[in-house]
Amino acid sequence: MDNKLSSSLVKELLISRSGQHGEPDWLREMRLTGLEKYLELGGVSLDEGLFAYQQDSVIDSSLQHLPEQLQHIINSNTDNRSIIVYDNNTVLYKHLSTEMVRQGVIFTTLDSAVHKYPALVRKYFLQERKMQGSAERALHTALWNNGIFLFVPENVVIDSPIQVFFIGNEPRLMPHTIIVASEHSSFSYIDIHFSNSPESRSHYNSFSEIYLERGANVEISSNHGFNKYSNDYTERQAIIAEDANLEWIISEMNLGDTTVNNLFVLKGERGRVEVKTIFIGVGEQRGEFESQVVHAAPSTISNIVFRGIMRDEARAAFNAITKMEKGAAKAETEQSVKVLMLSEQARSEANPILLIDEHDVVAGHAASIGPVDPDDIYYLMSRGITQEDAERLIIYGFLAPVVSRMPIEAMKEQLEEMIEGKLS
Amino acid sequence: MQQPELKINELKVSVEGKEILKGISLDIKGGEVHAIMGPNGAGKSTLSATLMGHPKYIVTAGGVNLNGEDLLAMATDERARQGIFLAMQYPSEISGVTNADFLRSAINAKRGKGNEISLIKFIREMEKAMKFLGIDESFAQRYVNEGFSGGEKKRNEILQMMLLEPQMVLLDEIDSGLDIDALKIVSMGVNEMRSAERGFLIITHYQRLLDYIRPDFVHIMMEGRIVRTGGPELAEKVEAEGYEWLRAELDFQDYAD
Repeated sequence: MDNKLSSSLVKELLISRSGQHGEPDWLREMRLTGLEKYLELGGVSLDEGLFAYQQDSVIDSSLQHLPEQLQHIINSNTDNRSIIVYDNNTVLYKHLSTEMVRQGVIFTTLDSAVHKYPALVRKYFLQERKMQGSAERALHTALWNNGIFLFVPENVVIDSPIQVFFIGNEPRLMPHTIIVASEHSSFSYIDIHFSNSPESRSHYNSFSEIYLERGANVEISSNHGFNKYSNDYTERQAIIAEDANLEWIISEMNLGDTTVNNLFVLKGERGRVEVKTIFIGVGEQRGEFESQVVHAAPSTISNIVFRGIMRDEARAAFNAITKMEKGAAKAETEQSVKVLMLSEQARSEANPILLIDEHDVVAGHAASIGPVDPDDIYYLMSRGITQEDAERLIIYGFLAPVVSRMPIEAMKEQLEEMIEGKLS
Repeated sequence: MQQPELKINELKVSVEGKEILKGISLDIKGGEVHAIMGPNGAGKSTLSATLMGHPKYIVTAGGVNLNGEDLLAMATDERARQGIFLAMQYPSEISGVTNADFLRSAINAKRGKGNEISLIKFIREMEKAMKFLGIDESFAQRYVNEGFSGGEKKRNEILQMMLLEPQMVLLDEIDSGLDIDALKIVSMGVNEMRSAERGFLIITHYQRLLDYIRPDFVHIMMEGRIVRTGGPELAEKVEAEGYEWLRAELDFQDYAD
């Protein structure tokens, strides 16, 4: 049976869905522009599954109906937690700390923010990059169907990390996240995207956009863990103003095909970004990872790190791209792309790329692809450590720059378990 | 404790098909310090790497016993657990593994499952040894040898030696690249560990190390053989006169490849 819909029908469905959800005109227009772009780019044909949308939220303060692994993580936090849990398109759990409420922080689903704070959402929603990019991006713009809106007002400092969990088993999930860190705000944010059914087939398409205003300081940890039948297309974008500082720690623990495009724009003087990604490729998994930093202002600093471990017949490309625009004097960048090959059938590319239009900058890059160095194994064994333990130490050490940065102990443990699972 | 003994008997070793050691015999007992000197390419480092079991070095003849056991039959990690320690000239950098984790893993590997050192005791011992060697506290949480200066790497080797308490210590050019202060500290660590229960084999280019670590025996190695054995005075003669007089005395026809 052919589920393909004609483009005119698709457009009608989109308009009618947008109307059902009471979306403002600008949002409907944005969706339609996304759709046109998608069709223009020759995206694959659309089916009705694409029109799923966030359902009426089942918000409950008890943790009973949450999956066990989440109960553990959430319970291990203190009471002043702020958490949203999505089970596919349903909000399972939502809690804001009283502290955050008092501070005037907005932390809610994107759908609800569109209705409650339309002007604020509109100010940021895809305002920076609009419709550029891939068919997947256009599809996301047209059909995003759940997501998060986080707005942290000026000078607000939030002590405990804000957490979001997306459980994704349904075929079409397109979460859209908008985070605004106002001037001199400071907080950390964690998002975990995963499937908890081994058989589900999800085409995941997520997009996160972060705005750091002057002097803001944000730490984000992202972890993706979808099963091998799912594929994951994820974009992340951050706009960083002067004296703002972003650190983003990303663990790509999917078992299925994964495409990631990260873009960071250093727009103001002395802005800083550090983005560190780990990936473990297993089975016949395919991965495409790109982190790009644009230095558009003087004295900006960036650091791009990739650590890949390749097993079985996995394939992956890691692209670290830094653009230094003219005028970005005294900017500094460091790129480090390292891939450990644990199988002769695995393939990988490590591409550190520097595009520099300003002469007064400092740029360093390092790339390596290869097996575990036998001399390193020998060194550890010469201290009495068995070969197996020596290999483990080296591999875990290789991932340490990311794992050690996980802000919550229970999440670090969960990540270690996932790594263990992918390495055993 | 039984007095340890390392017995090397007519050892021949090849690297990539080329014979480097051409019959080395040496007997090292607990309480003794042996020094091996010799010109570049004599095979000094080959000897220490072979004793530790580096896979590149192939033993073609002869044998080595540690306390009566066949050392060559053991893998590198087993040799270490049996009491051999090699302070390396070029220690590896292990990114992401802290010195403390590495040292604790090594100590526990030796102690065996069920007999692991308690964290408190480990930290206490490590801090004591670090203090003795004048090593900064931050050292414990730095990654193994990553970004270390030459002197820090050597101190780290000595720190490991002190904590692992081996029976037989091989020091491969521990003095290379060290300034005089670092040399004194490293020597102090070695002297602290000298005892009847521990033997030392010190490989060096320079006599100056032997001013700080007084050897009982000095062996001169040339072209894959030990050509002369004596006391500390032999090292002084080599330092003053080089190796030419030895070459002249020896009929090197025999040793030509």
